[in-house]
Amino acid sequence: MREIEAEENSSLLKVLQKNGYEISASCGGFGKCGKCAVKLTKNGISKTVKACSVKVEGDIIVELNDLYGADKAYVLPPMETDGKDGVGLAVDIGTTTLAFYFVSLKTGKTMAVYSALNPQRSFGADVISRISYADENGVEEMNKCLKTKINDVISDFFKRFSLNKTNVIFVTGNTVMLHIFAGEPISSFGRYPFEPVFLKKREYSGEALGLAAEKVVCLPSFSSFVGADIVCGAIATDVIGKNALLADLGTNGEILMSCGGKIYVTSVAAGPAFEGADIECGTGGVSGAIRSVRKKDDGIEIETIDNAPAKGICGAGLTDAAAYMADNGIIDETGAFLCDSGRFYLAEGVYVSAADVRKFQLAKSAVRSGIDIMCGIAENEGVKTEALYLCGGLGTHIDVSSALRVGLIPPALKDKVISCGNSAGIGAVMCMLSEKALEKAENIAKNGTIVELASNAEFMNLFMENMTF
Amino acid sequence: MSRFEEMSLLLQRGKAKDLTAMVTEELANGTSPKEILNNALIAGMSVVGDKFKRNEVFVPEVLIAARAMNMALTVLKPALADSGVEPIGTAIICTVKGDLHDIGKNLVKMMIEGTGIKVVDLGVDCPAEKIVEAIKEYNADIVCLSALLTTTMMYQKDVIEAIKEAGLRDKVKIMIGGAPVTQQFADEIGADIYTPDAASAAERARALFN
Ligand code: B12
Repeated sequence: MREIEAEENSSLLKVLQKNGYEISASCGGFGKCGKCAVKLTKNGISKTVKACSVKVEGDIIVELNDLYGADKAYVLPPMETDGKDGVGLAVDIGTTTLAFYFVSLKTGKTMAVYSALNPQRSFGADVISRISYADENGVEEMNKCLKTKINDVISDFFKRFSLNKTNVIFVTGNTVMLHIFAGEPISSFGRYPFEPVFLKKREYSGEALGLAAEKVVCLPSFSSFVGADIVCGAIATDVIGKNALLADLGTNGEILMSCGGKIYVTSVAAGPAFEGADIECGTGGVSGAIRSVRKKDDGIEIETIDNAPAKGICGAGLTDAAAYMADNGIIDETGAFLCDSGRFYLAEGVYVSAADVRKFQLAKSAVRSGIDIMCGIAENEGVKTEALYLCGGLGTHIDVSSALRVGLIPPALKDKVISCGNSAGIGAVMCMLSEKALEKAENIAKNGTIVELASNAEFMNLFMENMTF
Repeated sequence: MSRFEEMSLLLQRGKAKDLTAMVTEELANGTSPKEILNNALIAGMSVVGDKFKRNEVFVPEVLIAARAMNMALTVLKPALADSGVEPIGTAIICTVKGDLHDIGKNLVKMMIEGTGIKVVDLGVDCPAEKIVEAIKEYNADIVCLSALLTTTMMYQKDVIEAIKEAGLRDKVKIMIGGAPVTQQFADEIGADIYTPDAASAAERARALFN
């Protein structure tokens, strides 16, 4: 137990955050998501409360839920390198997770891979919540906690390898994350027309940013909502020049279509359903998250991460569950529950509710409609989509047949799906190792045509049609 | 089943053409347009609304039902006007400045229309000045503001301030909504009504005229 002093009447969530606890608050502390629930004991009476809605008065004891564990990162394939000396670090700043790749610049060999949760999570789960936090408080806090985390990882790496220097850090991620990293204001991202401060590649000295490296490179982005992560994904999958789609499925789905020598990009804000937030029993990809649901005899068989006792359901599990429910008469094709209880239990205490199905429908339909629009563009160019590269956490773990069953992926792409792991991180490493790859990334970012969906009537029609199962 | 019930069911199932044909037929038969509106269309829409609230139907079904109702209204409206039936009130609706999400706003609009209130739609990305102007121009009773982004939700407050400044605050009831909005937020910024869904929004709007 640790004692903290706090000002009377200050918000419990803020107090915990200030003292370094990474409490998740998906909604940004508006009392909406309930993810910041803690057990509070005052005068001997305990109850579960939302930390954001509690003001600190008198002595209280707070018990926190298990904090998120870091999940495993990927090991990289061998890569082309310019053969410079030294050690490089590529960081993929995801809204939820950070991935670190320490690589020998000479050989291109991976020395160490780390993954950690983005400490900014306590300022909101999605980018917009972080933007609204920055509207009032600026980006400094979020910038600082991110850089502290990066430096922590670097010093751990130094210890393990008895080193004292990284030569260069390459940073990729969505455009908002890159702005926070660079300490640039993000308020303009919060409202139409969503203007960014920078999209092009940027270079800093490590000293200027307060990072333990000589040089820091921020990789280029396409637009405010299609970031360097997709540019890097295009490098890693070598999709440019092919007629193929690249999709990163997350809270913000980013989709790139390469066809007829052109590059089109768009973003669909699917919402946090795929990452388990905003779902009653939802959770991220943590130990005990149900990640697979299968039919077995008359019932179901579930699989959890680490085979731990089921404690929630993550995006891949939810997709499986929806497919199973649609196939086995638990919901109908419109997504309505056919049984009265309005809950489908996957394990003790873990269920999918009628409202969860609705949120899932919004998310999957937004992504599918975005994919359909992009395939339509390819068709207009007279080419057929040859492959769909799925990247990002959900893209890697999702069961393709479930994704097809729920209509997340169009049937025409059935045998063309390729899972490609953290292609953002891999692409960043490639750019770090080779000038040629870096130049290519800059060209790709420059040449993307942005497809706007908000005022697209076709998107609206598709969005309604694709809601069904 | 009564003819009204039949029409209500057609509306619930979104059978726009069949519904419109039947409304036309009923009008020709001399049925009162007001009764068709209340006992068939509004009744049907309120069933859809209830089901929506209970997650039994979802956005596409509501949209289809609302489209059917709109189509039926095109033949019913002239008849209503002829028989001297006026809308029970006027509402203005929009998605606020900085935000282009309009699906929720459109649902709220259709549901409120389904209660016999006239709704003026100012579209998306709507600045406060335009809302203030519209209140005056249409002599509105209700202002409905939608915001889907945590950032643009804050602009709802600016709109309320602008309405106050224009001296119109006592003239209108202000309803706010959209996924990130909560009752607590509505209280904080001094909105009159918040509802989490379109069906309740329609009920609350309607209740203002009872
Ligand atoms: C569809 C969608 C889009 C479509 C919009 C199409 C359109 N013409 O509206 C597209 C793809 C274009 C889009 C774009 C963006 N989106 Co979007 N989008 C969604 C999505 C998937 C569904 C929203 C929706 O239509 N819901 C269905 C309707 C029926 O529900 P509703 O709007 O909540 O309305 C109900 C109630 O709230 C209420 N209500 C609504 N208005 C009102 C008004 C009153 C007065 C009352 C009483 C009640 C009420 O009644 C309605 C019916 O019951 C959500 C995620 C989600 N799962 O919710 C994200 C989401 C809203 N988008 C989001 C974002 C960030 C964006 C973008 C900024 C980023 C991007 N990636 O491109 C852009 C910006 C668009 C813009 N220029 O404004 C975020 C917002 C995050 C936040 N914390 O604020 C969300 C939550 C997803 C996420 N977590 O990332 N989006």
